[in-house]
Amino acid sequence: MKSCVLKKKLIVLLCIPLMFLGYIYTQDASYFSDIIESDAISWEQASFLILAGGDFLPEDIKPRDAWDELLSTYWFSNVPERESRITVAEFCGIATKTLDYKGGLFYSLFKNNRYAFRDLRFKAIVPAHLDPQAKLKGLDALSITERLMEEVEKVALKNKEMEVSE
Amino acid sequence: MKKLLISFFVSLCFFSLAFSFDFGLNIQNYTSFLKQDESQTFVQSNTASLWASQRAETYEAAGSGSYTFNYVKTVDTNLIDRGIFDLDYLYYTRFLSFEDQVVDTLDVQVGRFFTNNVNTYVFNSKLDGLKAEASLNNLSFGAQILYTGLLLNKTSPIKMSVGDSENTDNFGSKRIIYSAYALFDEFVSRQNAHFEFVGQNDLNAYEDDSLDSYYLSLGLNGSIIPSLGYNLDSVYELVNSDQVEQYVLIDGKLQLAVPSVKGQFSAGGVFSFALQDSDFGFQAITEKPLSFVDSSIMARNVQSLLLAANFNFTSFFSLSTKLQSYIDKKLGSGDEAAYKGTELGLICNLIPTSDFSVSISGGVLFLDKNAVVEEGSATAFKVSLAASIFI
Repeated sequence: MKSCVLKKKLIVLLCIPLMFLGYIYTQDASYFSDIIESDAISWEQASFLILAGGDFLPEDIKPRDAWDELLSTYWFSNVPERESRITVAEFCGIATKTLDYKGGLFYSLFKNNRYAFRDLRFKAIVPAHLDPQAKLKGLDALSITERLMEEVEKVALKNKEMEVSE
Repeated sequence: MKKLLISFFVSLCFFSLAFSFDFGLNIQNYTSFLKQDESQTFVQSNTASLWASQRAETYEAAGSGSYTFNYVKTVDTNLIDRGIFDLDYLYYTRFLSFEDQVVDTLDVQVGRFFTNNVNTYVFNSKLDGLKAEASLNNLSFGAQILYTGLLLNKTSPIKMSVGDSENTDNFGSKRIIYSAYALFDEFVSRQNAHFEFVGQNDLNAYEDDSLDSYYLSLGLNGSIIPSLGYNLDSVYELVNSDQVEQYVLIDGKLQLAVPSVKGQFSAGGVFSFALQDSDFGFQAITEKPLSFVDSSIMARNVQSLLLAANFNFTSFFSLSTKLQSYIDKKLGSGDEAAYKGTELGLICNLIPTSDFSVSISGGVLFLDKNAVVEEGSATAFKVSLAASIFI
């Protein structure tokens, strides 16, 4: 029984990056390769990556629509420029909010970029060498999004198992 | 003191905002209770550390200052220390990488930082100076030059001579430490080796109490079979004070990993001896107690045998336990008994989130009846709790 649950978990965890990549490749390939090759991704690129990865967007959506979708959340007190470069901490902030990540005490209380970054670094989702104020590379952004999705999925599975056992 | 703290806080905030530093506040409480012989000691130490850091691909700059105050209660005294403000670290590190050059990487660190010699038996402390480490394939080599005289006397761990212990200045013992080392990773079939030279020269102006020392270390570690590893460190020390003395320290350990219980079991010992007739053994620059209960038990005065088990149950919960026996350095020569006692220790670490950590430690020291002073108790114990919150 235990090995069956473990197998299921493994399959789900393996499927997440595949689903993510599959979804991404159905999008505009050149736009995606721009993101991957970028040394400093923009807010629009970041919103596209996270919303597409989190399966929050229909398949034929345009990058601009992802940005509009993010703005419609009213998470920003000061709306950043669409083409301005996003920092590592800002990326962690919007990624955790979008994917509904349940973090530690201070993150739960304040839900801000600082504690989102710290929580993700603590869980080794954000590589230790990244500074919160640094501009974010496309490859790092992709890796953070994948790992965060795995983490969120893992917690959801755990919660389901607990509900079943109760 | 208040003005100093406010000005430090304001300037740190200013620099943090001006240069986009990441910064934060860590608050730590350490509480311990020790019962030894007739005495009982309760210590509470509270520390607030303000830190700032900035890291990029090619450099890292970081600084931290802390304020600590202590409350100590014994059977007949209550002592409240008004506290001390100290600079924990303030350094700049430059990471350089090269292609088709003599070395692949070169890291240079300057300022005050936590550092140690390779096997940590000679020095392990925050110190001021310069450190450089270069790597080429599986070979790393480095050098450091450090000065101890800028550490505050109250917090300086450098107590090598009588003059150091009797020093009443604001700043600690003035010594210069220099080291050069080479690390060979997997030089042959998953075996690692290191070689190191450390020197320490006394710059204090104590009369007839100058103490210089030099250390040569050789270490080997690796695996014998996949789950069984070993670690062997040896240090030769030459002390030059009013006379020349030589000591040797050997630390050997076998480690067995058992993945099914997420544990690692180890057995080993620390042995030190003098190469001439002496009551003492190996003397480090910063002494490292072997015992949790009695901090006066060090490799300098005892030999020790150790059985230990470490379990990492989850990424946030670990447990370690040890059984350590202490034996007289001279193996009971003369009237003294060879066996001194055995200590049972337990450490439980819990770091559930990025916001706080808790560590609970406990130890019981069962002393041999021949090692107990008159009317003393044969059992001593200590418990401690360290809790930190990261804001």
